[in-house]
Amino acid sequence: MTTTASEKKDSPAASSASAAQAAPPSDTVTLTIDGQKVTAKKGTLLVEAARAVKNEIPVFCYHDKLKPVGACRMCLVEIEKMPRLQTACTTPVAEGMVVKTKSDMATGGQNATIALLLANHPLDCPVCDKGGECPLQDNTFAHGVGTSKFEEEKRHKDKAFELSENIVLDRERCILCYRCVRFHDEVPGDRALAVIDRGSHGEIGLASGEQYTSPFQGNVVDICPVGALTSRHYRFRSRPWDLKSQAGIAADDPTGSNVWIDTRDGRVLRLRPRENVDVNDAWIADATRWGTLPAERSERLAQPLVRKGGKLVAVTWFEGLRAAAALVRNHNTGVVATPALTNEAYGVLAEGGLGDAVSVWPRIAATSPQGTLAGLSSSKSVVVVGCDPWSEIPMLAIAVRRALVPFTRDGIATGGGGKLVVIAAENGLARDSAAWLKASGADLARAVADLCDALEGKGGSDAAKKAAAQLTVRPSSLVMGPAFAHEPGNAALVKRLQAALGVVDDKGACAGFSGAVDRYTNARGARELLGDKAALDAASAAGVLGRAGAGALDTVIVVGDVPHCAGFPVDGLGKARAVWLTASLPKDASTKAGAVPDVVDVVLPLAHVYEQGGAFTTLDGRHQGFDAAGIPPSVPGAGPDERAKADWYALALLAAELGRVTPHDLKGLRAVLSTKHAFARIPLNRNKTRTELTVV
Amino acid sequence: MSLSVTTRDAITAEVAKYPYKKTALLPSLKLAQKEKGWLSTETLAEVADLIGLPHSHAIELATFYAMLFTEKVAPVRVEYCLQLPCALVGAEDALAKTAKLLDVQLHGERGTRHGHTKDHLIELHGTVECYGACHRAPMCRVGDDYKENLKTDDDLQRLVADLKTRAAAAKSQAH
Ligand code: SF4
Ligand code: FES
Ligand code: FES
Repeated sequence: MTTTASEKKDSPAASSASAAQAAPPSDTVTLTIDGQKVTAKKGTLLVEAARAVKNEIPVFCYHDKLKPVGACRMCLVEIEKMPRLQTACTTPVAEGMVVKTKSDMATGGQNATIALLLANHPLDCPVCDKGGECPLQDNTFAHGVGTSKFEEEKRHKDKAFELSENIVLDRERCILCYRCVRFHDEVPGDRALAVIDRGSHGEIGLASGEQYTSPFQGNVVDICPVGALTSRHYRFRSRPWDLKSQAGIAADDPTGSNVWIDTRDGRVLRLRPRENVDVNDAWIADATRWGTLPAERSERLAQPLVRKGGKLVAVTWFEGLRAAAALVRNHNTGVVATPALTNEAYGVLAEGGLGDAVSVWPRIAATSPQGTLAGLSSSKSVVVVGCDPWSEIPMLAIAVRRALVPFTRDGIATGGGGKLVVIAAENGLARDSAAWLKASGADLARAVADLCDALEGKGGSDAAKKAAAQLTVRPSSLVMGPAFAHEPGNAALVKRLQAALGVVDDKGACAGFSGAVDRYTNARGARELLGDKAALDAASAAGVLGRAGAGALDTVIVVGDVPHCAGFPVDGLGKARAVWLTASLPKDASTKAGAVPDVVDVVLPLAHVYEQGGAFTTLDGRHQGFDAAGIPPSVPGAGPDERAKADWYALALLAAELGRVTPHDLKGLRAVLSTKHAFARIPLNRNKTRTELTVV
Repeated sequence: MSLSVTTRDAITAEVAKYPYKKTALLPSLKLAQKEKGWLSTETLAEVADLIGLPHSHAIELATFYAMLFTEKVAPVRVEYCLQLPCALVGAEDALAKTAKLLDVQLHGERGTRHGHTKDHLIELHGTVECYGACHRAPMCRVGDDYKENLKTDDDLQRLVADLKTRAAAAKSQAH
């Protein structure tokens, strides 16, 4: 139902009354923006309504995932019947509203805002990292007058102020949009940054001389609309127009953060969050952003190594594969795979039969969690036992926090209202927890039993009763550290807690989330693809390391590297010799003492995750495929075959060398795997995203 | 050095007055400043913790208001108003003469003029906005007191004598 312009002119009151009578009460309103009729949900902000019809109102402080504050005045628009210009980022749509974003009055306001912001801005774009991807440049170009009347001396402030080992702040460039402060306030909730002083003295700083230690710092670089916040890891390394952005998946994050991998001449220079409202929204953890960048290509091992007369010698792939195959053929062989390989690699292992047994190492949980992270984020009661998501899987902490505190989507607050009870030694979400029952080691089980008593109304300590009183609303979720969930003695207790919390309904469905969270990238993929074949605990008697240690194996193939723990299971190998497929070795590994353990006879170099295609499965079972972004290390002057290879490709080549034919290209391999495995039917690089990050 | 029990109790009493504890932050910081003379990083953190707020709230508020000091100030702080009504009746002059009588070297230009005695016990400032005492201009504020009608040399002599007494008191208190 829309009212016509003439009706409104006659009598606004009458027209709205007739609109109310004519239309059934609806939750939408219709308005006009620059002559275009727009129907939007009640409560929608003008800036979002305009965006929906591809009319981009310029903004600086507004960010669709943060609460609107109306600080910068960039989004001024003219609204009929309102005497002054209004900020589109704080004005909700209303029935019959007539908005002009390009009238003389609106343009005048936008021009003036740009002029005022630029009065004190240093205009040092030629030496600024943001140049080329800077909203201030873009808005100045589109909405500025192009000249300045400001002849006085500009204000001077700190230029390269080191906020932390990751972030540099240029206080002259800052336009005080508060996006960075609001991000820390609203998303992780750690209030890490503060606005210090007032007016033109105002500047961004740390709270009370504290350290900037948040695990989410990098996100403020993405959302800063000017070059005030820059990353020390990327500063002065490239210009945005020289970068190629490729959609990828975080190499270290079991929640499967979507990223843009920015490369220059095949070198991965930077990672940015790729918006996916179902996974990471628009954020990533610092561990992903800076911790997973591959080392310089020329510094990494590109050639296979084979031990000859006690010494490791660089050889061609042809020779390397032959040497590896010789160790496997006619020998009792086991495979140790890390839980950070691609699903395709697990597929080759599951199908190709490289060894008599495959084990996952380090140990991962025996069963996959039920429910989803989206379910976790909409739970009303959440219990965390024996882990600290904040420090172990930061993006999981964000997912938990969404259940507790409302977050902003498209400018509107949503969700929240849940309660969190934590039973663990550390708790990074302490400030948002309803209760924190400190416990570790063997005390965990006791504290959980105590909470169960209280939940079941069978007594329990006072602290447990208080905590239980917070956990009455459903749906509910349970997040457990693997160490607690692994403990065989805890199985009954876990069942009891799940029942007491009602995480699973009568039909066995889980509306929230329940299970143990492994911190390895693709633990779920490993479990799902190798589960029946593998002992998930490599060190157990039936596992590959257990059997090797008992002297039952001649050869062990170790595939991958393990972040968060020692890189290679040297101690478990017994008398077996090893073949190692790895991406972590430096170029001079053959001569560098200690780089390659003595038990290894053949090394096959792997590409970094960002230099290969494949798919990972998130801890809540979402399959996400990706293509190669960077170029893997190669041997200068040698043919195209002489380079580090994708994990699945190296395994497929080895299988072929052993006479077990496996397709050699990703498409063919996926076609074979797709008959049995759902992940292989998901196209690479086609994950659901709403839009690209619109702000930077 | 943490706050005295009296101040801490007074802060707790402030918190009880308001429906939102954040509201108690401003009066609490004033109480803390009253005891300490200024608000150090530690004091800000202590007050925030006492109320149960993030430290960033305390630093944002303390730096926003010019009369909450986040840098150490002298025990006797003299703030001359140099705004129009005061300026018209000779506030600039009064400030300069006071400085001379106290042997204080003034730095800065109009709007940032300030200086202190060699023993750092008395500070002079010409940086503040109107104190609402224009009808008895020129004036200055010393601690919580207004000194008004500072027109003649005698007025200034009296003022300086008072400042010196305050400085001496502060000095003996420190010992
Ligand atoms: S540093 Fe950047 S994001 Fe933070 S207030 Fe300044 S301009 Fe905004
Ligand atoms: S005031 Fe609307 S974008 Fe800043
Ligand atoms: S102008 Fe000085 S007190 Fe008002």
